[in-house]
Amino acid sequence: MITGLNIVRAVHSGEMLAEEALEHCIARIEVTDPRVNAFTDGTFERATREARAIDAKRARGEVLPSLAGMPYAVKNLFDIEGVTTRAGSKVRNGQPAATADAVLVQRMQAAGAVLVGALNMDEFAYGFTTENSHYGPCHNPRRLERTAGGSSGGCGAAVAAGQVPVTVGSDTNGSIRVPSSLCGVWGLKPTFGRLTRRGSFPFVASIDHLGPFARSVEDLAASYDAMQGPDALDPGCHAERVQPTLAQIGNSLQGLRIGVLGGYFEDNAGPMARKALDLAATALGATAGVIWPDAALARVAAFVTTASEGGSLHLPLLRERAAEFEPLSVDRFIAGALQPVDWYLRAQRFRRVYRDKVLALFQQWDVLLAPATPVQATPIGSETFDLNGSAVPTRPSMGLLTQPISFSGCPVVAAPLWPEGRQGLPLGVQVIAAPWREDLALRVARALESSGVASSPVAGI
Amino acid sequence: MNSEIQDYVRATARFLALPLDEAQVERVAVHLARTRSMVAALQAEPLHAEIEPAEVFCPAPFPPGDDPDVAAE
Repeated sequence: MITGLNIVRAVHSGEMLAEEALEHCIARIEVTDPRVNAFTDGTFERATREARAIDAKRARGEVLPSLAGMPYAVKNLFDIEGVTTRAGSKVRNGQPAATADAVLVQRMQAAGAVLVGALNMDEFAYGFTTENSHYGPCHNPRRLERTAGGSSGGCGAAVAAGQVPVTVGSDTNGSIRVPSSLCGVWGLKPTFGRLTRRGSFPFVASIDHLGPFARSVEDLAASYDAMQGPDALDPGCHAERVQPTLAQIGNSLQGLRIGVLGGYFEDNAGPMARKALDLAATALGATAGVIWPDAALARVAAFVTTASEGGSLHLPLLRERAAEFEPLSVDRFIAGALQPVDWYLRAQRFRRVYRDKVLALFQQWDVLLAPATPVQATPIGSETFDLNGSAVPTRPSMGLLTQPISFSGCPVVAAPLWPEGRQGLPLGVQVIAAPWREDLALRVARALESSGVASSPVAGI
Repeated sequence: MNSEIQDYVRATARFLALPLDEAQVERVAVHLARTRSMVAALQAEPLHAEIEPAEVFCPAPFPPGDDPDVAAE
């Protein structure tokens, strides 16, 4: 299984047809997905049309775009023309099919990427395990009886299984970084407001982010670059122009101030998370003991915001069809809909103060490191896991270390580390930069990849 | 404590026209009780009266110009 940009190079040079790359990809999906359950929908006919269009362009001698012939898939909350956007739910099954692609799918298509399908997720993105009761749990390709993380579990699993080189998911409280960590792949949660969400099914409008997964930093940066661009029609899209990153990921780290988060991030990290962080910090020569401001309060504020906005969004359907919702999350949606408004407003007022404190921290640091999850992937069905001697509930606690960061809107690359060696389970490290400095997070991620401590081999299934 | 929260769940759900059976009331009350105990820290955080809620959230102004830092590296 070659990386996405190596497929693109082969298509550009004529060594491989885009249609051949697609055939390999479909064959891998057909062999592995009965065990992984990453895909909810295949769009193979569309993919064949897109791949043939690329091959025809090349045959005519036209210049090929940046991702020509690269297969990819999206979380099933992205609109795909002709497919109903279910967002992991059963209640949306009767909805009409989307009449247009989501904007990010349009941008990937314009860059020549080939869409092969939609991917499993927690219902309406409310979860960290992708134990979807309607479509079955997504299995972790590194160890099939374990969860893939969530809510973009299908995105992490499809990349780890070598089904596609790149996927695109969403992250509200950790839904790109948690599956990246548990599946051992690279993930990028960009700055809040960087990538347009138009045409994706919302969860928490004030915290929803979209971003890519990949098995190499180069693929991650190239896909991210292809999806950038302003969008005046998404009120949460603040980017005013494209800021490309791919050409800079190999630049030196000299002069960068890289710190390691302690305090809350150390207290909520299990032994393997600490080991993964140590490996990354040592490789980068990072300085220990940096304190992120108000991390515990930010987690609470993110939790309250998520519950209120998510509960309110789904209240009309909860009134009519609550029995058809995911049993693992429906009570949390209802509880969120009933929360006192004082809690929500207090969280929003706190967020203003919190942003100032986080920006002040980045006056002193360029990049900060923290584990992405407290522990490695847990067995499917686990109600609790052990965190430094305490049993904590699995489904909400997998996001303990990601929620404070996304609430600040800072960009993060989740890097796949192997604290028990390549035969053990992976655990990710968050590479965090100041808002709009994805270039720095990707550069540090590339240094980790070059050093050999972070990598994403295809899972041997 | 639990019956107080269950009363709250019944009353607000009725007010919002959200039908819940007793088993749901109990489960939802468990979630709300957990959130209430978490929120205590946020309630205790001093926030001056002039601190307004965050607007459509923007983590920082988008940088002006031609990305000199990035281009120079």
